[in-house]
Amino acid sequence: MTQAVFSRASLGYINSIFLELSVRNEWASTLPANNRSFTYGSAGLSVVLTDLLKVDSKVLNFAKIRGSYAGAGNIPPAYRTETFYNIATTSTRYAPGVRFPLDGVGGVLLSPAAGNSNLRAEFTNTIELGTDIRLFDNKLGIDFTYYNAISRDQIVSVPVPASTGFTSQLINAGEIQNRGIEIVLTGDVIERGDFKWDMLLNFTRNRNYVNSLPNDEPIVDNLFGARIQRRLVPGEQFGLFYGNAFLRNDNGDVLVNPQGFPIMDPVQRMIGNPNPDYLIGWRNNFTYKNLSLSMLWDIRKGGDIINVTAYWMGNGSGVAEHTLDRNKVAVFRGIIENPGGDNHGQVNDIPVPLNQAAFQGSGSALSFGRELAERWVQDGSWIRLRDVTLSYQVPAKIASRMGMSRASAGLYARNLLLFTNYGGIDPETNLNGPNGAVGLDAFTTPNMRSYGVTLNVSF
Amino acid sequence: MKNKIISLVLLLFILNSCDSFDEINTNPNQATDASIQVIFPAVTAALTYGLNGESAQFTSILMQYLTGVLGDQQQVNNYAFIADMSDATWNRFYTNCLLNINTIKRKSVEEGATHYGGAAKIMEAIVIGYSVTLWNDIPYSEALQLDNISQPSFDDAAGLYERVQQLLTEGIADLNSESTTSPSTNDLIYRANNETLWRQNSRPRWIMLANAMKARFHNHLSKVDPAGSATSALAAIDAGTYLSNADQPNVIFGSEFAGPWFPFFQTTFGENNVAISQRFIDLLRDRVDGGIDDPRLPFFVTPGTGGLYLGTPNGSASRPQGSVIPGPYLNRRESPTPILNFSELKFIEAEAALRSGQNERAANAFNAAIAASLQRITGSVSAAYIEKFGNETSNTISIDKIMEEKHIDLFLQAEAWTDWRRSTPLGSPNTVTGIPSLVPSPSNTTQGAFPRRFIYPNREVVNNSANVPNVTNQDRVFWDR
Repeated sequence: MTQAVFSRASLGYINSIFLELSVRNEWASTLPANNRSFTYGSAGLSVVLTDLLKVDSKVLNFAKIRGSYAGAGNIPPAYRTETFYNIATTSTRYAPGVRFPLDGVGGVLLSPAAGNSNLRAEFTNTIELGTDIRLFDNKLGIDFTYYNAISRDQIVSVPVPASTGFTSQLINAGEIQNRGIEIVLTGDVIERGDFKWDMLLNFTRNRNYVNSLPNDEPIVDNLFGARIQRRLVPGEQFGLFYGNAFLRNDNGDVLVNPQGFPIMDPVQRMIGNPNPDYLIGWRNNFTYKNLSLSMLWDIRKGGDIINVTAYWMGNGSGVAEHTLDRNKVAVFRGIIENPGGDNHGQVNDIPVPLNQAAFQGSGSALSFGRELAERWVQDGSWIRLRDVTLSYQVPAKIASRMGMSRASAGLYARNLLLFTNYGGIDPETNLNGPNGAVGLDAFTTPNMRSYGVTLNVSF
Repeated sequence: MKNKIISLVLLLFILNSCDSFDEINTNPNQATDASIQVIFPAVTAALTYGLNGESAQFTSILMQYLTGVLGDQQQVNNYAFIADMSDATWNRFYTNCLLNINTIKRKSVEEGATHYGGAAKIMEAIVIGYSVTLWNDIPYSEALQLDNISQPSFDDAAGLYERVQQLLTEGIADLNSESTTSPSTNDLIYRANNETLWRQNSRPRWIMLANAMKARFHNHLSKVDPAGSATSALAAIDAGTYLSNADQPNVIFGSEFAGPWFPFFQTTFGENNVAISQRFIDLLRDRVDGGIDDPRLPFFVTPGTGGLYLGTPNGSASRPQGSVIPGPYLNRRESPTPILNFSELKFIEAEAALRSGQNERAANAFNAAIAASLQRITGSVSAAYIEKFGNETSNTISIDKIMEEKHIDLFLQAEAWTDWRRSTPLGSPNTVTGIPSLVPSPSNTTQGAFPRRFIYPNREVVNNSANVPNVTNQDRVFWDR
């Protein structure tokens, strides 16, 4: 439960300068008594330049600039300040086991997730600057936003070494930063007679950084036997993939063993960044009389994906496409490792057969199996035609003659086209759903392509 | 300039309620405290699963009882240990076992429940000793204090072995004391119907188990202190321990659940990732004579179609059609899960006696061990097997015989790997085998060198990096020289 005192003020000056202020104090029952009360507030200023300066122009119809600073406090879920006993279960990593009670004998164990009696509220402070401009008789709109959100004292469950008696603890952890820009362009391209073409272009570029973490220790999420890990590392981008990488020389050339197979780096390294460089959405609407056509193109540039599906299908069952190379002979690009030497010498020219051992990753081909997670990292850029809708609005006269106030009929198609270099089924799939581990393709279903007919009638 | 204030709004909301905040944040469905009566059985279950769970799967692959054909198990078979192969066992030991054992110990002092405290100390000793055989140095003195120490340092392994003996001594003393309350049906290791029967029947057996553990951990020092370790192991046995199979723990999990092996063998991991190693079948086939197998073979494995004992070659990446599956000895829901058997104790006695020159005692203990093993596994003692293998004298008994028979008896137990490592020649490189003689897995990635220890859990490596020692599977634990 929270109790709050809240106060807000809005000020306006000659209808063109606006200032909004707010302040709020909360008391939250989910926090320990001594940290229960916390305060935050916001301030926002916007100026409509065209009104303030009394601009009256055919070109510049409207211009507004805005800036705000907002704080927001967040509280933990209930019952997280203490550690609880759970009904005991014990099982192995590979199989189920025992759940109490056993023939009437009850059993409990202290939860390995430690509560925390020192939790504080978490805060996110956001600075946002933006403009809103309309030009050429409002035919072109430009909306630009820059934001920088810094979250401090985030309430997160962090892994702790099990030798403490617990595997995780809820703490107020470090600082996460989200900054980026968003540009929205709206335009009427053509408007001639009964024909109209307008479009909307949306560009987003977000950078999510881990600024600091408690004890400067990374937070690691082990996946697939720790062959792949999602790590939060102070100073790096959010959610980078670490794992078994190719051993390379200082030029970045892959090193190859004397049998001709790549070698695995004994140290796990960054192997992929699932965060895209930018996203673009581009919608076009065409209208002619009662007929309208709308289509949305989605573009994602960058963002690595680990194709776990391929390594399992290759190693586990041999049905992945890359296993068509079976028994072919290959020469790996790389430099033959020269232990003790400078590793810049002999370019690999050793032909190796892609046999069972190579696919299973045993013997000299250890690294060529699924263990070498870097092998399965692919660029997840895409261009896709997200949707197309064609609709016909029945003229009002005809509709009313049929006893309807409005009627329309349409055809739609979703996920019609996909252009990508990604080798898996769909670069947009995600383990554990869209909010799960981003960039992991592990036997998840692709986006569905769907077609349909719509009929809308109002009486 | 004219200042025109168009609007000014000031709002004040106060929400209130009559419940106290502290009451609201008290979870009605979960407790922050529990009695030793319900913590104790949960710890015994976690302990049994820890000793016979993932770690025993992996040591059984290293001992070539099993061969890993897929996934993590295949990586272990390749001697290319996966980064988090140790996490599950380690987590269970520290969180489910040791942390809750500390609670039992504290409460047993507060409540005068000394018997609970004694049994808890014995379980603590077992966890620490077993962990050292896998990981050598582990956190102990700074462990289990999250509020003060978030990154515990690692204690010296040799010192931990001393602590193990001390805990066992203290545990025995506690069990010999008065106690306000004692376990009963909630003791999965030595179950009794009520507290009186527990004091009468289970309490002396807990003391026997403690002395058997003392003997085991003393005997582990055979390479670093051959004479002293033999004397201490025999002294622990003489202090009073198992007299027959009836005294060993046979852990079962009620009428619904099983120990760790059975559910593992039922899953796809157990079916697809491991297979019975051909090497182990070869050891038991025609063991007594041409056409007469070791009588334990059909209990350890179930033959394939047509009664064929077809195993899987070690290091193979697939399991042949019609090959054997694990047999009823552990692959049944009702199968008891071992902790330390009477037969093992007798093998320890034989080995320690032989090392201290008491050959007759060694031979007698060895013969008793064979009979106990046959009885436990097959339900009877095969006269033919006894005649050939359980009939040693002071002139014929040898360390090779002891270690090989003990290896068969310890099928799928982690202790087998400890014994094998101890039986490698002192000072030899990791390419040299112990007893029984093993050939490195053909799929090995270590140029033919056997692994000699587990690596540390990935969680510890990442989140306790300041303290975790840097090791590979080629390093050794302190008693393995």
